[in-house]
Amino acid sequence: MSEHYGRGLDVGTMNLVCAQRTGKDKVETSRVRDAFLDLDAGAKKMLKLSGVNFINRGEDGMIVVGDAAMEMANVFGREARRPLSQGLIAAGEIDALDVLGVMIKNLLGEPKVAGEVCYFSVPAAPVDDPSRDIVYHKGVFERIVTECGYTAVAGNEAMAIIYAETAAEGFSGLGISFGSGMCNLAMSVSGMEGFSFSVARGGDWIDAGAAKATGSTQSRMCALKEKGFDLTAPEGREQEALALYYKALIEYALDQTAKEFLKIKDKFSLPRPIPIVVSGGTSLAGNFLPFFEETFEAKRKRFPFEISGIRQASDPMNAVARGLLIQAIQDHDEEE
Amino acid sequence: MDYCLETHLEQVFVTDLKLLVLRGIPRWIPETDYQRSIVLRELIRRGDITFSRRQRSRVSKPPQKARVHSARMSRPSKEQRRLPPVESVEMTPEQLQALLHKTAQDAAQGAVKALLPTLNAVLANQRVKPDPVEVAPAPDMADLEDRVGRAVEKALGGALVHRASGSPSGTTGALGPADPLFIPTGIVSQDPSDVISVQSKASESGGLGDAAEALRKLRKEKKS
Repeated sequence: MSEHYGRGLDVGTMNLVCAQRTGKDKVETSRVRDAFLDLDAGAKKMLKLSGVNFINRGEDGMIVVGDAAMEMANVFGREARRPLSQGLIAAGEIDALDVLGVMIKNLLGEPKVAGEVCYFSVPAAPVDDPSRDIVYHKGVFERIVTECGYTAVAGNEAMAIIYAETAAEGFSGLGISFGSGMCNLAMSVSGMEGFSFSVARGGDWIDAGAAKATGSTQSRMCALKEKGFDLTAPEGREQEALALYYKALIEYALDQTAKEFLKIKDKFSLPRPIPIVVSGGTSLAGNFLPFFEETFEAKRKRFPFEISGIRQASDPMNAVARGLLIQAIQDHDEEE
Repeated sequence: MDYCLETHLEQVFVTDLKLLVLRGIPRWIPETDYQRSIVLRELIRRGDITFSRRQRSRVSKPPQKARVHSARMSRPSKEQRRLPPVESVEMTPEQLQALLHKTAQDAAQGAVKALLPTLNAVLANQRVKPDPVEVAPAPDMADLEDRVGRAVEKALGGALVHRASGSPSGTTGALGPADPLFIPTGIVSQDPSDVISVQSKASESGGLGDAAEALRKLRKEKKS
């Protein structure tokens, strides 16, 4: 049973990812796009014909969820709705809660034993937007996971990257999750969290900024980005604008890291240089790693702690879910 | 293992634990309190409170002695020399907290007393109906807030100089006891027909079990 025990759930603005063990050396990751589209009851026939799964809400119409919502949004010429905005759920989004409930229930499935532990990701409080409240966000997901029959445990998103990727370094490193809604960062030494924080900028911020600069639309910029282009050799104005905003985001994240470290440097000692591990969907852009290294090198001299190396997570889309699963497994082993 | 809390500020109040941390006086709390207090973790994140995790010494310590100035800046006057020397009072943190609480209560009562004449005057002005021909001068409501503020400040003296650290501009603004957090129940539908397609991918664990084992060992080492 212990080989199959535990779940890790990464709650992202763009994707929800669940990781679980299916055997001694096997891991299964499940993903659903964190988006939905509400349609009138008249669209039911069309949806049935196209074989799209939907949630029937009776007279209130239907809700299409996940990747299908993005596809249907294109068909109907509408924008898909996103339950999370800038990494957090907004209070009062009642439709979003119901949709998240269905998505997470389908992702997690039934627990293998009653009260099986599920670690879910929670971002750290944004340093640049104190009005955003993570308490409500955490409470909502705790409730959803519990209602799915699991024992819900919140885990820091960036620390999950540390657990997934730095076992060889004794869980020491700076984990950066470049997400769609925000960037999450955490520094750890021997598994002990030095600091963690988030910045309210991410992939969406890049899209919005580049779209504004070039007179284009945010969805076009997102499509360009997802299509893939070389950050180190952008072609055309749109790609150049995207690369510029990528650089600005990386610089901003590094500057904030330096500031946060200076706050704790007297209370925390770093015995040796630590690695930086970058992860998240936004880090999947072409040549992101050399681009990050180049940006970091310009700041290395003034960076307040020593970095041994920079690398990308082995599976950037699933690293957070895997890190959370590691914590769930560890909790279970400890209990046994 | 307990947590030792300290602050560089004059005083910081941890609202959800109802715990006052004073400068220079370490406060000990159990790990469970640390885990359940969102406000405390936020204060730690901001740097208002520093904490260290260690085994608390159960050996009773003598209370901290009041700081004695080694040199006076000027000679005491004749009158001061005639007065009996002020004895330093040694207090435990609990006594200090009780004293602070009492001082605050006394100060609040003083503030109410000081405000009564002002408020009575305002009420009297409101009761008098203005002459329809000759409009009476409106009671000076504009500086009422200032006057109330000054009266409270005068009555409070230096009892409550610093406000609690949870500033309204911070993320803890919504964490105070005045803002209950509503999270609806029944979010997850029990309807079995609510099925959506999920993309699944199986892969090698990539040392997942080993990482969990290493983490378990690390945590065990730290505990021991």
